[in-house]
Amino acid sequence: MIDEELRAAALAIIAVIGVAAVSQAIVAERVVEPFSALGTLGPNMKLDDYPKTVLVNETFRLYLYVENQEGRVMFYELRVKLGNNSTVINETVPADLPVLKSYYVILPHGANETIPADISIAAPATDVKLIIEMWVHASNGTYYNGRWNHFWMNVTAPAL
Amino acid sequence: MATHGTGASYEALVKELEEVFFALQSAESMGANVTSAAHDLNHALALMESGSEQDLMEAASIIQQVNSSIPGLTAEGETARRMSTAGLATTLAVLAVAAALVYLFMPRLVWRIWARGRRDWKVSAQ
Repeated sequence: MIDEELRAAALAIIAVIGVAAVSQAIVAERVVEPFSALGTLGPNMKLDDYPKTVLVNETFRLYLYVENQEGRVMFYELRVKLGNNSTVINETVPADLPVLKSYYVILPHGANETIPADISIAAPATDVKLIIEMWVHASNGTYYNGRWNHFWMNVTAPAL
Repeated sequence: MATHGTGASYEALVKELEEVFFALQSAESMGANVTSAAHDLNHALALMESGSEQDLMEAASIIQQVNSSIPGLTAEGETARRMSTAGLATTLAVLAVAAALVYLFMPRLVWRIWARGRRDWKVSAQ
């Protein structure tokens, strides 16, 4: 009787090890919740120091943070656009505006990159919505992946 | 990383880089480790940003090198994947053998150890 209990206990331990080995092999490279992250930082690499007013054609620096947790290598394009209060943008619809500038980056799974972005705006405007959209280059075409950042600023003409 | 430039050669290079990237993505799905190749393509993008003729040529050369490395990366990936499968099979085989050995010999071994541990014991009846 005791012999059988000993056998059963030892075999149970071995079975648990076996199941753990197989499950580990199955789920090891699987990403449960794939996502891409986009963040925009100000000139001092902080989240709250975006330029509020710039001069026409004055170059100001932003930092664009991109992170890939999609489970595969990704080719991102960050499109900078200029909109205003009436510009529509959400998780499914990108802003219907011309691209001011594009930034490209290729990231393997788990990697991130902070890209310095020097931007200048050619015309004066008030309450400009500076938009950064994340697009993905894929074999079936380039698509907007629903991530975007924006902030508001004014562009003033230099004093004469 | 790179910014958008102008000019036909830049656009052609972006297109070429895109094609190589898709091949790389495909290789990754077959088990290839593409970290280094992705880093190289980013370097090519950075060179393309400058827009000078020499940098564009160097970027084109890097893209070609990455492209030619893809079959090797894919082969390495497939080998690594086969090794991983073989490792799992070996682990399971070892566990199966261990289970059989335990089933056959463990009670005898445990009792032998138990008896050896009590070799000096004296039994007294009250």
